[in-house]
Amino acid sequence: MQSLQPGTVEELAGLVEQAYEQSVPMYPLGGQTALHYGLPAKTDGWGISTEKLNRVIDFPVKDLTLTVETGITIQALADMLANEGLMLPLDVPQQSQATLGGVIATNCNGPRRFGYGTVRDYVIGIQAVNGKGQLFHGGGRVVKNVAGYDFCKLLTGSMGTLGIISQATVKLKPVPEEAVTVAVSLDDGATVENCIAMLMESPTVPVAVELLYGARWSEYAGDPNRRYTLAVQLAGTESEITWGQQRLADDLKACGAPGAFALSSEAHVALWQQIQEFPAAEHELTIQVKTVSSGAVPVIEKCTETDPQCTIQSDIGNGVVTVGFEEMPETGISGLVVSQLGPLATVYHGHVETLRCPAPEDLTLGTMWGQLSGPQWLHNRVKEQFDPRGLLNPGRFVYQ
Amino acid sequence: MHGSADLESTLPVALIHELQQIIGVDGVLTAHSDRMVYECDGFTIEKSCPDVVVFPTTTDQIAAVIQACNRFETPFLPRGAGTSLAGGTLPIGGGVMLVLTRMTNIEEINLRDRYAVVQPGVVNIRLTQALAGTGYHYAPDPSSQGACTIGGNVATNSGGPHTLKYGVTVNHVLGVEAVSSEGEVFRLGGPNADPAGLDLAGVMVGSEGTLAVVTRVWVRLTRNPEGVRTMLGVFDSVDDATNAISAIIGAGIIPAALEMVDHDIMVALEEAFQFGFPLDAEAILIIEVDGIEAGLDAQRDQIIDICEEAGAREVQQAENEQHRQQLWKARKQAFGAIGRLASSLVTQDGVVPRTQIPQMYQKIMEIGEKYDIRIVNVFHAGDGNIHPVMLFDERDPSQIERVLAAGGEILQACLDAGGSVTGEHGIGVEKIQFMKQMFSENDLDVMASLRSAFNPNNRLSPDKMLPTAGACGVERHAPSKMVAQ
Repeated sequence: MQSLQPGTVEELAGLVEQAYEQSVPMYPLGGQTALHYGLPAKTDGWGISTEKLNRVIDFPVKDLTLTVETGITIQALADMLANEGLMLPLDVPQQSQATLGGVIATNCNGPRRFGYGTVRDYVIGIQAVNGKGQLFHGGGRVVKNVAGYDFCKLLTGSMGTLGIISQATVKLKPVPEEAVTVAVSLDDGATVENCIAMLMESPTVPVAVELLYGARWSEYAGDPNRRYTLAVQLAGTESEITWGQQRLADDLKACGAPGAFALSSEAHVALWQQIQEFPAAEHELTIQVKTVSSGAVPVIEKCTETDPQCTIQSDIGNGVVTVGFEEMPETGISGLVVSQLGPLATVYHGHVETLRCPAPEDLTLGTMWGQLSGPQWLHNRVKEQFDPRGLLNPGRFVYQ
Repeated sequence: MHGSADLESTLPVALIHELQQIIGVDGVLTAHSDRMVYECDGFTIEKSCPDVVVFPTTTDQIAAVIQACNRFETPFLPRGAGTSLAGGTLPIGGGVMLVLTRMTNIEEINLRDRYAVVQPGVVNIRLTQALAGTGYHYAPDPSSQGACTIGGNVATNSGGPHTLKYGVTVNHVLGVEAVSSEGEVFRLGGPNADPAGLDLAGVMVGSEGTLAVVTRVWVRLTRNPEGVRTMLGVFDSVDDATNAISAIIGAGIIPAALEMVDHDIMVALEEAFQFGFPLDAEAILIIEVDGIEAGLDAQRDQIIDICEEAGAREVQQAENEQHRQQLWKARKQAFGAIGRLASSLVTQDGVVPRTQIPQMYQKIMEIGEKYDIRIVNVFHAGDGNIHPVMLFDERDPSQIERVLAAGGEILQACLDAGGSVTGEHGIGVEKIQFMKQMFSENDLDVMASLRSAFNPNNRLSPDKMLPTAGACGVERHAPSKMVAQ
């Protein structure tokens, strides 16, 4: 596939207009870390890379906002922010490659969403080129703004199918003074549920609550013989953390989970790094179940029942369960996703997505994206308005 | 209510009969004297009377009404409590108004998964009241929260003082059920924050009722903070106060709320509430931090230091919860109190980058002098959202002209500073002419195309928000008294 690298947004718009006139399919490219996410492309076309669109447009540090072109890598962004004591707390895998545009297009969120929110909470301004080559923007550079339709929400998670995102303004947060991990080993789902219900209401306000299953995590567990490791991240000032750690240990004990301990700072960094990378890690099959929080334990138990050798990383406070299988389950993808996990996810208001599989060409809308939220006709109509010739990432998302 | 004596509606009788069959005669207003109540909302400058007003109680009724409107090619629009300050519920061209204030059920509260399901007519504060004792609350808290509905909050993406830390309405809406402009019931999102497909629920929020009629809302519930510290910073100059605001945000502190009230408003508040405000001060800041009790005293001390360094005369701390509640009551009812200052008032809702509040304040006062209009100020200062209030006498046409010119100049100054013409009130009809200054032709064209995906016949709330459709046909020449945020 031919890959083009426009150097300015005007060039980008010009390229898209040209593709529109010639009806050439376009595949927006950022850091190319999530190309396996979504149905595989079936038609040839132009790859349009944002690699050269990586300029900082405006960084008014004291306003806690940043406007950048979206080809900037998350690592470069994080380094620039860290110099000012700021952060964009999104926990993106493969940061040295992944770009801001890709993160917005794929709505990539990680463990700290529990305390800090998700991509849609941070993007306050956006610029993109739609399928006709129209350069447009929505939102702005100020943190509060209700003028016009919210294109920031529309484009977040739109998988590059409504426009190629060229520039964004994000809100920033100050880096907390300290962060610490309190971990505890657990044996059964009932105790896990007790602990999670407690953590949802905990006055210690954790920034992340993770439930981990599988040998990969055993070095962080207090007791490797137990099934699960629960890892809770606290962030704040020294006095908040000192108090929070003790309070958490006491509350976990009261929930039937004694023996909570604080990880060393090295283990803390290593654990969250590994959690962040997990959805992108190599497995035969990786699926992600997204339900309400109370759905996570039943989903996890179902998965471990299906394959006790699987590895699980769950943002359990938000009901996101990512499961890596080393072998394809006997039921195949559709048996697992559609017959077993799908109905369970539906009970808990959720759906199942396939993040990685050995034969992507066999994926269907149902096995890739699960049950669509909202009517198909409305999705199709929005798509037709933004991309009337169906040229942006054709066949990869939910339209049909 | 059933008076046929002054039935002046221009709608076909067959449509009115159909509406009466769908809703019941008790839920349909046709007499002009009844409908007049709905000729405007909190934005009273422009008026347009709906041809008929209906009060549905179910989603099915709403769908049936919309289907009937489509058959008769009649425009229609939803309305909540009518507290919009931008004319968002003005029925341009008449038509059928669906008033949703009879849909007041809180259908579900789920604390384990932190969400609630409400009908659109639920008054904002009722949800937080229903959550009393659970340890949770509903975070968006517009000043009109005692009257405004959650359906209306969804339409305008409402803010409020505590949205500085907790986010505006869109950050708390997980999903909506709605009726399309063609009368089909559909659902976007729900209890789970990660629905498959596009974030169309997010798009619905702030769409000012122009995409679909929201009939049910899934909202996020927010954990109450363990502790709170509320401070009152007293300043002898407004510049010192605005510099303190800038310094607090610049230091990386995000308070739960950071509000500024200037001298003239403070005087009005004191007359209304006898709170004990220092009347010889030029400005006060209401600053609230919340979170883990163990960290709050340190945050409070840091803020006090910053205020004192900026020249604060003193920083008082609310003595107890009652004192704190009184302070917030005074702040949230500021606009009611301002009514004591002048016969008429108009407020603006601009936003500037938050560290530019000091320059913006000076600019506002210069504009007031230039047009000889008295302006008093109350700001959601922490997020740069200004509410300059222009006081005047609407019996004097020259004052009205000057007020409109001054308001326009203030909003232009916000745009020049890289800001927005509206932080929380919406575009409605009031600021429609500013859309062309804030957005390019492409931007507006793409917005219009999004609207046509949802609302292809443009029968749902026509001529709002986007200036592209035909002229709205309402002359703007008579600002009058407005109740505002």
